[in-house]
Amino acid sequence: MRRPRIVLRLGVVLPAVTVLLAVVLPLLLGDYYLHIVNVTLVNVLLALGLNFIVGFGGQISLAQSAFFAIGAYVFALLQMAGLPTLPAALAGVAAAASVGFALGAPTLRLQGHYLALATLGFGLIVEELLTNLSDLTGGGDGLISIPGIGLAGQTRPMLYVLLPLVAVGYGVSEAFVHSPLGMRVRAFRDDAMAAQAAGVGIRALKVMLFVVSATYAGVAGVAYVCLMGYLAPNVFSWQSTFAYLSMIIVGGLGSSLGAVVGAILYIFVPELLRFLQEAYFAIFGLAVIVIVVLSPDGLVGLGRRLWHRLTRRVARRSVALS
Amino acid sequence: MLLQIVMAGLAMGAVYALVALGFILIWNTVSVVNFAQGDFVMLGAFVGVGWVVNALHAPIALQLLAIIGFMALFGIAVAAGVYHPLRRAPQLAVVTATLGLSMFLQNTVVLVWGPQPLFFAGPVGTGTITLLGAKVYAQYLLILAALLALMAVQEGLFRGTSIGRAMRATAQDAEAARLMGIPTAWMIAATFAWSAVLAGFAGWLVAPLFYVSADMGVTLSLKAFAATILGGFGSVPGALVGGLLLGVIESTGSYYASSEYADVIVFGVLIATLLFRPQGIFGELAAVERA
Repeated sequence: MRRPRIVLRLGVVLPAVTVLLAVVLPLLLGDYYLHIVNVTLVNVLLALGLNFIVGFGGQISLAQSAFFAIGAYVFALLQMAGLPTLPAALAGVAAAASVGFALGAPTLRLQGHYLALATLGFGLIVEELLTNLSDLTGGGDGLISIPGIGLAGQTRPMLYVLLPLVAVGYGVSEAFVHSPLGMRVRAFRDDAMAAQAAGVGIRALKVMLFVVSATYAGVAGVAYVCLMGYLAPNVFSWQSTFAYLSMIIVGGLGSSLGAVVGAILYIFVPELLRFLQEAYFAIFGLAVIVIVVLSPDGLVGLGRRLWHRLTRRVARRSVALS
Repeated sequence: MLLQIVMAGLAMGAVYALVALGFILIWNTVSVVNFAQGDFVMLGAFVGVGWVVNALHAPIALQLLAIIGFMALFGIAVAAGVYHPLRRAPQLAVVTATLGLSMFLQNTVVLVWGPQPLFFAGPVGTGTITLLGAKVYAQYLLILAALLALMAVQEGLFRGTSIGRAMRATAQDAEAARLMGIPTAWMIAATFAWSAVLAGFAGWLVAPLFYVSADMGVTLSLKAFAATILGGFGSVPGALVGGLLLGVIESTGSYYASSEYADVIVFGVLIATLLFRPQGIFGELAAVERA
């Protein structure tokens, strides 16, 4: 039953929604808000990626902004050094993924909180290097006029580039959840001991999830360079990793839709509610606690439960009527 | 010169040790990595400087009493509002809740005290004391003395009082403690309270060295984490030694190598410890999962 539905969802519904958004958003929103949508889309990629290691793997990683930075800076520097766009982009993504492997392979043999602490330290080192290696990275001023794909500042064409990219990222994440491998991953998250007894290689799976997270961040880095055309280290402050983490918690851990909802609530909605300023993020922080307490599967899980209750009631009533 | 650098390192290290200690006490009792521990320090500094000193102009003894009272109540509130509802939830849930708490605290202090950092001269100002022929800031000595005093109080609390013994019993084996009739939920709340009080003191002590700002807790959290790893995760003496050692590594590193790369050196030490000696100085190998 499950397989045809996921094929339908990824093969028909997802492309349809993508096309619909590409048509409707430019009609509804002006240039400024369209740009915010583009920034939100990059954040969706980061959140979707982080969801692999945190939501599926049950491990806390705080290095997502570091991998984001590695993808962005490697791509930008190689392109500015004269490498053609595609190889430079691939190199950016590969750099993020391989650093992810080098960091994840040794630390993931340790218990949960060790990855959190190692990635925290790593994120900080990367941030310091971005600021201090000013000959290479431009230091605090960053890098300007990076060619990218020549669409920086053009909100509508960028939307047409980013929407399909995010749709692919979303599709990969959903396809993974419903694949046999995804089920094994859930098995080890829910009961590591039992999964291990059943022959699931936990350590290799965790490393794989971590590398996938880093890869998404690398892609997001390249996309971000193309969107903005410049880079500054403050975007990649390791604290923004907390933002990505809270996005997937509020949206719903382990849910691809949750990553999308979380990114919208963290990036797009505050832009609409600007007058609230710090109060919005104070409330957001509180919401993280309340959601973890009351609905551990986030807003998406909450919505799903409400929907089930509603449809069940309607179904019961129609049975009673017949 | 070396003495001055080492004293500066020890003083900062003592602050790291206080944060690390609060962090480890919570970890040992409820197995929660409290990502908001540094923000407890920040809150203590804002309450102490923003309300007690700047608004009330209170004398030192009153400043300390007010910080102890406020932070203890705050610690109990965190135990009741954040930890207790999640006591049966997976570890990831509790840890993320502490991240939410951190975000909440950082934005709330800006709402209450405004975005401008606060300045606090401290009880000894910028006075210096000559020690073995070297001029050393009095504040550094005050911090070290305060660390010693707090450790003595903690020893007395944990060993000499029935509450302290019940707290230790809860940390050792909560199930057995409950069977012995110890109200473990209250002991957990007491641990959060004491841990917040330590953080509050750290805030009051570190405030004269920096401006008091909403994000000051972030770096302190990080350094305290690094200290606990270095000293051995879960070890109380490890948190102390790790904190002091980290402070000295940081100050000598930034003087002799590069001040820009001080944090890189500190976190390089952290990652190297994780890779080569994950149990730290005092820790046990139990931390390494057999996977």
